[in-house]
Amino acid sequence: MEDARVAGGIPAVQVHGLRKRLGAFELRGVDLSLPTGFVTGLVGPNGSGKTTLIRSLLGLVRPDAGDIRLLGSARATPDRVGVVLDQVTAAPEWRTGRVGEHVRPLFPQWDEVRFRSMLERFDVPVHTRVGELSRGQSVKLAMAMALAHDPLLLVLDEPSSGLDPVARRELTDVIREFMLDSSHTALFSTHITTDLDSLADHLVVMSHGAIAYQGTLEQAREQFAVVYGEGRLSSDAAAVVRGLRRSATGSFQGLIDVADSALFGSGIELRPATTDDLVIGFAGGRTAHTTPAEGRGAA
Amino acid sequence: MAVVVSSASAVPMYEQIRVQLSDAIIGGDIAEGEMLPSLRQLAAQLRVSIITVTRAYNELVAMGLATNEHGRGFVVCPVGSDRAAAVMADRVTTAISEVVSAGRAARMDMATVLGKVEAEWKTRE
Repeated sequence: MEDARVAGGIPAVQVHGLRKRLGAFELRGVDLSLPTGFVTGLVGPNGSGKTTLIRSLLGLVRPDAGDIRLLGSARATPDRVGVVLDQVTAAPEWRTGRVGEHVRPLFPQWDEVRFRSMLERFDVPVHTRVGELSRGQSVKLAMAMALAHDPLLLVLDEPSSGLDPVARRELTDVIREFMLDSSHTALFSTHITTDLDSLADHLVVMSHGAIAYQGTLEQAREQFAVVYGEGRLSSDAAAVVRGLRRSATGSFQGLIDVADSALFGSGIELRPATTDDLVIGFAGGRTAHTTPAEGRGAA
Repeated sequence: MAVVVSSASAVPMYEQIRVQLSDAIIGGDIAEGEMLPSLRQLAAQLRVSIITVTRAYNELVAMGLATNEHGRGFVVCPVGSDRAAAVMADRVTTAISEVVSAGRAARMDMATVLGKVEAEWKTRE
Protein backbone atom coordinates (compact mmCIF):
# COMPACT_ATOMS: atom_id res chain seq x y z
CA MET A 1 0.00 0.00 0.00
CA GLU A 2 0.94 3.66 0.26
CA ASP A 3 3.67 3.01 2.79
CA ALA A 4 5.36 0.23 0.88
CA ARG A 5 5.82 2.63 -2.00
CA VAL A 6 7.13 5.30 0.30
CA ALA A 7 9.60 3.00 2.02
CA GLY A 8 11.49 2.58 -1.23
CA GLY A 9 11.28 6.26 -2.14
CA ILE A 10 13.84 9.03 -1.93
CA PRO A 11 14.38 10.44 1.58
CA ALA A 12 12.73 13.85 1.90
CA VAL A 13 15.89 15.25 3.47
CA GLN A 14 19.42 14.02 2.81
CA VAL A 15 22.38 15.67 4.50
CA HIS A 16 25.94 14.53 4.08
CA GLY A 17 29.05 15.84 5.84
CA LEU A 18 27.45 19.12 6.90
CA ARG A 19 29.88 21.43 8.69
CA LYS A 20 29.26 24.93 9.95
CA ARG A 21 31.27 27.00 12.40
CA LEU A 22 29.48 29.88 14.12
CA GLY A 23 31.71 31.48 16.73
CA ALA A 24 32.49 28.90 19.38
CA PHE A 25 29.83 26.54 18.07
CA GLU A 26 30.43 24.00 15.34
CA LEU A 27 28.30 21.49 13.45
CA ARG A 28 30.79 18.68 13.10
CA GLY A 29 30.02 16.66 10.02
CA VAL A 30 26.31 15.88 10.20
CA ASP A 31 24.86 13.01 8.16
CA LEU A 32 21.09 12.83 8.19
CA SER A 33 18.39 11.08 6.24
CA LEU A 34 14.68 11.73 6.82
CA PRO A 35 12.38 9.12 5.29
CA THR A 36 9.48 10.43 3.21
CA GLY A 37 6.08 9.83 4.73
CA PHE A 38 7.13 10.01 8.37
CA VAL A 39 7.51 12.42 11.25
CA THR A 40 11.03 12.89 12.60
CA GLY A 41 11.55 14.46 16.02
CA LEU A 42 14.74 16.48 16.50
CA VAL A 43 15.87 16.83 20.11
CA GLY A 44 18.95 17.92 22.03
CA PRO A 45 19.97 20.50 24.61
CA ASN A 46 20.31 24.19 23.79
CA GLY A 47 23.45 24.72 21.77
CA SER A 48 23.57 21.14 20.47
CA GLY A 49 23.02 22.34 16.91
CA LYS A 50 19.34 21.76 16.18
CA THR A 51 18.60 25.27 15.03
CA THR A 52 21.82 25.59 12.99
CA LEU A 53 20.95 22.29 11.30
CA ILE A 54 17.43 23.48 10.51
CA ARG A 55 18.64 26.86 9.31
CA SER A 56 21.16 25.11 7.06
CA LEU A 57 18.41 22.91 5.62
CA LEU A 58 16.34 25.99 4.86
CA GLY A 59 19.23 27.86 3.26
CA LEU A 60 19.20 30.50 6.01
CA VAL A 61 22.85 29.85 6.84
CA ARG A 62 25.50 28.82 4.36
CA PRO A 63 27.31 25.61 5.34
CA ASP A 64 31.13 25.54 5.38
CA ALA A 65 31.03 22.08 3.85
CA GLY A 66 28.63 19.30 3.02
CA ASP A 67 25.74 18.37 0.85
CA ILE A 68 22.04 19.06 1.46
CA ARG A 69 19.20 17.72 -0.62
CA LEU A 70 15.56 18.48 0.12
CA LEU A 71 12.87 16.52 -1.72
CA GLY A 72 15.53 15.02 -3.96
CA SER A 73 16.91 18.35 -5.12
CA ALA A 74 19.87 20.48 -4.08
CA ARG A 75 17.62 23.54 -4.31
CA ALA A 76 14.10 22.73 -3.19
CA THR A 77 11.59 25.39 -4.18
CA PRO A 78 10.30 27.20 -1.08
CA ASP A 79 6.86 26.33 -2.33
CA ARG A 80 7.26 22.69 -1.44
CA VAL A 81 8.66 23.34 2.03
CA GLY A 82 6.47 24.71 4.81
CA VAL A 83 8.31 26.33 7.68
CA VAL A 84 7.24 27.13 11.23
CA LEU A 85 10.02 28.89 13.13
CA ASP A 86 9.87 30.16 16.68
CA GLN A 87 8.86 33.54 15.32
CA VAL A 88 6.26 34.13 12.65
CA THR A 89 7.68 35.39 9.36
CA ALA A 90 5.14 38.15 8.84
CA ALA A 91 5.49 41.88 9.51
CA PRO A 92 4.01 43.00 12.84
CA GLU A 93 1.86 45.69 11.24
CA TRP A 94 0.09 43.34 8.78
CA ARG A 95 -3.43 42.29 9.60
CA THR A 96 -3.51 38.51 9.92
CA GLY A 97 -6.32 38.10 7.41
CA ARG A 98 -4.29 39.97 4.78
CA VAL A 99 -0.99 38.14 5.23
CA GLY A 100 -1.75 36.21 2.05
CA GLU A 101 -1.69 39.37 -0.05
CA HIS A 102 1.84 40.09 1.15
CA VAL A 103 3.39 36.65 0.89
CA ARG A 104 1.63 35.04 -2.07
CA PRO A 105 4.10 36.48 -4.62
CA LEU A 106 6.65 34.15 -3.02
CA PHE A 107 4.41 31.12 -3.24
CA PRO A 108 2.81 30.39 -6.61
CA GLN A 109 0.79 27.61 -4.99
CA TRP A 110 -0.64 29.84 -2.23
CA ASP A 111 -4.21 28.80 -1.54
CA GLU A 112 -6.02 31.74 0.06
CA VAL A 113 -9.15 29.70 0.76
CA ARG A 114 -7.11 27.13 2.60
CA PHE A 115 -5.25 29.84 4.51
CA ARG A 116 -8.50 31.50 5.59
CA SER A 117 -10.05 28.22 6.63
CA MET A 118 -6.98 27.38 8.75
CA LEU A 119 -7.19 30.77 10.49
CA GLU A 120 -10.86 30.17 11.17
CA ARG A 121 -10.25 26.67 12.45
CA PHE A 122 -7.49 27.92 14.76
CA ASP A 123 -9.60 30.85 15.93
CA VAL A 124 -6.99 33.40 14.87
CA PRO A 125 -8.69 36.82 14.61
CA VAL A 126 -8.30 38.12 11.05
CA HIS A 127 -8.45 41.86 11.82
CA THR A 128 -5.74 41.82 14.48
CA ARG A 129 -2.25 42.94 13.58
CA VAL A 130 0.40 40.21 13.54
CA GLY A 131 2.38 42.05 16.23
CA GLU A 132 -0.59 41.95 18.62
CA LEU A 133 -1.16 38.19 18.48
CA SER A 134 -0.49 36.01 21.51
CA ARG A 135 2.32 33.45 21.32
CA GLY A 136 -0.20 30.67 20.64
CA GLN A 137 -1.96 32.67 17.93
CA SER A 138 1.38 33.48 16.25
CA VAL A 139 2.27 29.81 16.02
CA LYS A 140 -1.15 29.05 14.58
CA LEU A 141 -0.72 31.85 12.03
CA ALA A 142 2.70 30.43 11.10
CA MET A 143 1.16 26.97 10.74
CA ALA A 144 -1.65 28.34 8.54
CA MET A 145 0.95 30.12 6.37
CA ALA A 146 3.10 26.99 6.14
CA LEU A 147 0.18 24.81 5.05
CA ALA A 148 -1.43 27.38 2.74
CA HIS A 149 0.97 26.56 -0.07
CA ASP A 150 0.49 22.81 0.10
CA PRO A 151 4.04 21.77 1.09
CA LEU A 152 5.51 18.29 0.84
CA LEU A 153 7.94 18.90 3.69
CA LEU A 154 7.00 20.65 6.92
CA VAL A 155 9.85 21.92 9.09
CA LEU A 156 8.98 23.07 12.61
CA ASP A 157 11.56 24.60 14.94
CA GLU A 158 10.37 24.75 18.56
CA PRO A 159 6.77 25.46 17.59
CA SER A 160 5.35 24.25 20.88
CA SER A 161 7.46 26.26 23.33
CA GLY A 162 5.30 28.72 25.22
CA LEU A 163 2.08 27.00 24.18
CA ASP A 164 -0.46 25.65 26.64
CA PRO A 165 -1.45 21.95 26.47
CA VAL A 166 -4.60 22.69 24.48
CA ALA A 167 -2.71 24.63 21.80
CA ARG A 168 0.02 21.97 21.69
CA ARG A 169 -2.59 19.29 21.13
CA GLU A 170 -4.10 21.37 18.29
CA LEU A 171 -0.66 21.75 16.75
CA THR A 172 0.17 18.03 16.87
CA ASP A 173 -3.28 17.18 15.51
CA VAL A 174 -2.63 19.42 12.50
CA ILE A 175 0.67 17.60 11.93
CA ARG A 176 -1.14 14.24 12.11
CA GLU A 177 -3.64 15.49 9.58
CA PHE A 178 -0.81 16.67 7.30
CA MET A 179 0.72 13.18 7.56
CA LEU A 180 -2.43 11.48 6.19
CA ASP A 181 -0.80 12.00 2.78
CA SER A 182 2.04 9.49 2.47
CA SER A 183 4.06 11.85 0.26
CA HIS A 184 4.32 14.29 3.19
CA THR A 185 7.22 14.49 5.65
CA ALA A 186 7.66 16.47 8.86
CA LEU A 187 10.71 17.48 10.88
CA PHE A 188 9.78 18.67 14.36
CA SER A 189 12.37 20.16 16.70
CA THR A 190 11.27 20.57 20.31
CA HIS A 191 12.29 20.65 23.96
CA ILE A 192 8.86 19.43 24.97
CA THR A 193 9.67 15.83 24.16
CA THR A 194 6.32 14.49 25.36
CA ASP A 195 4.87 16.14 22.24
CA LEU A 196 6.91 13.64 20.21
CA ASP A 197 6.05 10.55 22.23
CA SER A 198 3.11 9.33 20.20
CA LEU A 199 3.73 11.48 17.13
CA ALA A 200 7.30 10.98 15.93
CA ASP A 201 8.20 7.88 13.94
CA HIS A 202 11.90 8.65 13.88
CA LEU A 203 14.10 10.39 16.40
CA VAL A 204 17.31 12.37 15.92
CA VAL A 205 19.23 13.27 19.09
CA MET A 206 21.87 16.00 18.76
CA SER A 207 24.68 16.61 21.18
CA HIS A 208 27.66 18.95 20.91
CA GLY A 209 27.16 19.75 17.24
CA ALA A 210 26.84 16.14 16.09
CA ILE A 211 24.14 13.51 15.77
CA ALA A 212 24.31 11.19 18.77
CA TYR A 213 21.39 8.94 17.83
CA GLN A 214 19.29 8.45 14.74
CA GLY A 215 16.65 5.74 14.45
CA THR A 216 13.02 4.95 15.07
CA LEU A 217 11.55 6.12 18.35
CA GLU A 218 10.38 2.58 19.07
CA GLN A 219 13.85 1.21 18.55
CA ALA A 220 15.29 3.87 20.87
CA ARG A 221 12.75 2.89 23.54
CA GLU A 222 13.72 -0.76 23.27
CA GLN A 223 17.45 -0.22 23.00
CA PHE A 224 18.02 2.21 25.88
CA ALA A 225 17.18 2.13 29.57
CA VAL A 226 17.97 4.20 32.63
CA VAL A 227 20.05 2.26 35.14
CA TYR A 228 19.91 2.98 38.90
CA GLY A 229 22.17 1.50 41.53
CA GLU A 230 24.19 2.01 44.69
CA GLY A 231 27.89 1.95 45.44
CA ARG A 232 30.88 1.42 43.20
CA LEU A 233 30.71 0.69 39.50
CA SER A 234 33.26 -1.52 37.79
CA SER A 235 35.25 0.38 35.18
CA ASP A 236 33.68 -1.80 32.45
CA ALA A 237 30.23 -0.86 33.67
CA ALA A 238 31.06 2.82 34.12
CA ALA A 239 32.39 2.95 30.57
CA VAL A 240 29.04 2.07 29.02
CA VAL A 241 26.93 4.55 30.99
CA ARG A 242 26.03 7.74 29.19
CA GLY A 243 25.44 10.83 31.31
CA LEU A 244 26.52 9.09 34.52
CA ARG A 245 25.34 11.01 37.59
CA ARG A 246 26.05 10.27 41.24
CA SER A 247 24.01 11.50 44.16
CA ALA A 248 25.32 12.64 47.54
CA THR A 249 24.12 9.33 49.03
CA GLY A 250 26.35 7.30 46.69
CA SER A 251 23.71 6.10 44.25
CA PHE A 252 24.26 6.43 40.53
CA GLN A 253 22.11 6.66 37.45
CA GLY A 254 22.57 7.05 33.73
CA LEU A 255 21.57 5.85 30.30
CA ILE A 256 22.67 2.46 29.01
CA ASP A 257 22.11 0.18 26.07
CA VAL A 258 20.05 -2.70 27.52
CA ALA A 259 22.49 -5.11 25.85
CA ASP A 260 25.09 -3.89 28.37
CA SER A 261 22.94 -4.50 31.46
CA ALA A 262 24.78 -7.74 32.27
CA LEU A 263 27.89 -5.69 33.12
CA PHE A 264 26.15 -4.33 36.21
CA GLY A 265 25.48 -7.49 38.19
CA SER A 266 22.31 -7.90 40.20
CA GLY A 267 21.94 -4.86 42.44
CA ILE A 268 20.55 -2.48 39.83
CA GLU A 269 17.20 -1.31 38.60
CA LEU A 270 16.35 -0.56 34.99
CA ARG A 271 13.48 1.48 33.68
CA PRO A 272 12.61 2.28 30.07
CA ALA A 273 14.23 5.48 28.80
CA THR A 274 12.04 8.46 27.94
CA THR A 275 13.04 10.85 25.17
CA ASP A 276 14.26 13.27 27.86
CA ASP A 277 16.48 10.50 29.27
CA LEU A 278 18.02 10.10 25.81
CA VAL A 279 18.69 13.84 25.54
CA ILE A 280 20.27 13.94 29.01
CA GLY A 281 22.26 10.73 28.52
CA PHE A 282 23.67 11.64 25.12
CA ALA A 283 24.44 15.20 26.23
CA GLY A 284 26.45 13.84 29.17
CA GLY A 285 28.37 11.39 27.04
CA ARG A 286 30.39 8.50 28.41
CA THR A 287 32.82 8.90 31.22
CA ALA A 288 35.69 6.86 29.84
CA HIS A 289 36.83 4.32 27.28
CA THR A 290 34.93 5.82 24.39
CA THR A 291 35.82 4.26 21.10
CA PRO A 292 36.98 6.66 18.36
CA ALA A 293 33.74 6.21 16.43
CA GLU A 294 31.60 7.08 19.42
CA GLY A 295 33.91 9.54 21.03
CA ARG A 296 32.96 12.37 18.76
CA GLY A 297 29.32 12.36 19.77
CA ALA A 298 30.01 11.62 23.40
CA ALA A 299 32.98 13.89 24.12
CA MET B 1 -15.02 -1.48 15.46
CA ALA B 2 -13.45 0.95 17.93
CA VAL B 3 -9.81 0.55 18.89
CA VAL B 4 -8.85 2.18 22.18
CA VAL B 5 -5.26 2.76 23.29
CA SER B 6 -3.74 4.21 26.43
CA SER B 7 -0.24 5.67 26.61
CA ALA B 8 -0.34 5.11 30.38
CA SER B 9 -0.54 1.32 29.98
CA ALA B 10 2.56 -0.82 30.48
CA VAL B 11 1.55 -2.69 27.30
CA PRO B 12 3.20 -1.04 24.26
CA MET B 13 0.78 0.84 22.02
CA TYR B 14 1.41 -1.36 18.97
CA GLU B 15 0.57 -4.40 21.10
CA GLN B 16 -2.65 -2.82 22.36
CA ILE B 17 -3.68 -2.21 18.74
CA ARG B 18 -2.61 -5.66 17.59
CA VAL B 19 -4.53 -7.50 20.32
CA GLN B 20 -7.74 -5.58 19.70
CA LEU B 21 -7.59 -6.09 15.94
CA SER B 22 -6.63 -9.77 16.16
CA ASP B 23 -9.49 -10.37 18.63
CA ALA B 24 -11.85 -8.60 16.25
CA ILE B 25 -10.66 -10.66 13.28
CA ILE B 26 -10.78 -13.99 15.13
CA GLY B 27 -14.11 -13.10 16.70
CA GLY B 28 -15.53 -12.27 13.26
CA ASP B 29 -16.17 -8.58 14.02
CA ILE B 30 -14.06 -7.76 10.96
CA ALA B 31 -14.98 -10.15 8.16
CA GLU B 32 -12.68 -11.95 5.75
CA GLY B 33 -11.86 -9.72 2.78
CA GLU B 34 -12.61 -6.51 4.64
CA MET B 35 -10.03 -3.73 4.63
CA LEU B 36 -8.37 -2.70 7.85
CA PRO B 37 -8.46 1.08 8.38
CA SER B 38 -5.69 2.89 6.48
CA LEU B 39 -2.46 3.08 8.50
CA ARG B 40 -2.41 6.83 8.45
CA GLN B 41 -6.09 7.23 9.24
CA LEU B 42 -5.81 4.93 12.24
CA ALA B 43 -2.61 6.63 13.44
CA ALA B 44 -4.26 10.06 13.28
CA GLN B 45 -7.45 8.78 14.91
CA LEU B 46 -5.64 7.05 17.80
CA ARG B 47 -3.00 9.82 18.07
CA VAL B 48 -0.15 7.35 17.72
CA SER B 49 2.76 7.39 15.31
CA ILE B 50 2.50 5.84 11.86
CA ILE B 51 5.24 3.36 12.72
CA THR B 52 3.27 2.17 15.75
CA VAL B 53 0.30 1.21 13.57
CA THR B 54 2.63 -0.22 10.91
CA ARG B 55 4.16 -2.50 13.51
CA ALA B 56 0.74 -3.69 14.73
CA TYR B 57 -0.34 -4.40 11.15
CA ASN B 58 2.90 -6.21 10.32
CA GLU B 59 2.33 -8.47 13.30
CA LEU B 60 -1.19 -9.24 12.12
CA VAL B 61 0.37 -10.22 8.78
CA ALA B 62 2.93 -12.40 10.59
CA MET B 63 0.06 -14.08 12.45
CA GLY B 64 -1.60 -14.84 9.12
CA LEU B 65 -4.61 -12.68 9.96
CA ALA B 66 -4.12 -10.02 7.28
CA THR B 67 -2.22 -9.45 4.07
CA ASN B 68 -0.67 -6.28 2.71
CA GLU B 69 -2.07 -5.83 -0.79
CA HIS B 70 0.11 -3.25 -2.45
CA GLY B 71 -1.81 -0.27 -3.68
CA ARG B 72 -4.91 -1.21 -1.68
CA GLY B 73 -3.99 -1.65 1.94
CA PHE B 74 -4.32 -4.37 4.55
CA VAL B 75 -7.00 -6.98 3.92
CA VAL B 76 -8.34 -9.46 6.48
CA CYS B 77 -7.49 -13.09 5.67
CA PRO B 78 -9.89 -15.99 5.98
CA VAL B 79 -9.55 -17.29 9.52
CA GLY B 80 -9.97 -21.06 9.54
CA SER B 81 -11.28 -22.54 12.76
CA ASP B 82 -7.90 -24.32 13.27
CA ARG B 83 -6.04 -21.07 12.95
CA ALA B 84 -8.40 -19.21 15.30
CA ALA B 85 -8.14 -22.04 17.82
CA ALA B 86 -4.34 -21.94 17.64
CA VAL B 87 -4.22 -18.19 18.22
CA MET B 88 -6.65 -18.45 21.13
CA ALA B 89 -4.63 -21.33 22.64
CA ASP B 90 -1.49 -19.18 22.39
CA ARG B 91 -3.20 -16.43 24.33
CA VAL B 92 -4.18 -18.89 27.09
CA THR B 93 -0.57 -20.11 27.29
CA THR B 94 0.73 -16.55 27.58
CA ALA B 95 -1.80 -15.68 30.28
CA ILE B 96 -0.98 -18.85 32.25
CA SER B 97 2.68 -17.98 32.14
CA GLU B 98 1.88 -14.58 33.67
CA VAL B 99 -0.28 -16.16 36.38
CA VAL B 100 2.50 -18.59 37.27
CA SER B 101 5.10 -15.79 37.42
CA ALA B 102 2.86 -13.64 39.61
CA GLY B 103 2.02 -16.61 41.84
CA ARG B 104 5.66 -17.53 42.33
CA ALA B 105 6.60 -13.91 42.97
CA ALA B 106 3.92 -13.82 45.67
CA ARG B 107 5.32 -17.11 47.09
CA MET B 108 2.00 -18.91 46.69
CA ASP B 109 1.94 -22.67 46.24
CA MET B 110 0.45 -24.22 43.12
CA ALA B 111 -2.71 -25.41 44.87
CA THR B 112 -3.49 -21.86 46.03
CA VAL B 113 -3.03 -20.47 42.53
CA LEU B 114 -5.13 -23.26 40.98
CA GLY B 115 -7.79 -22.60 43.59
CA LYS B 116 -7.92 -18.95 42.57
CA VAL B 117 -8.16 -19.90 38.89
CA GLU B 118 -11.01 -22.28 39.68
CA ALA B 119 -12.85 -19.67 41.74
CA GLU B 120 -12.52 -17.09 38.94
CA TRP B 121 -13.68 -19.67 36.38
CA LYS B 122 -16.80 -20.42 38.41
CA THR B 123 -17.78 -16.75 38.69
CA ARG B 124 -18.23 -16.76 34.87
CA GLU B 125 -20.43 -19.86 34.75
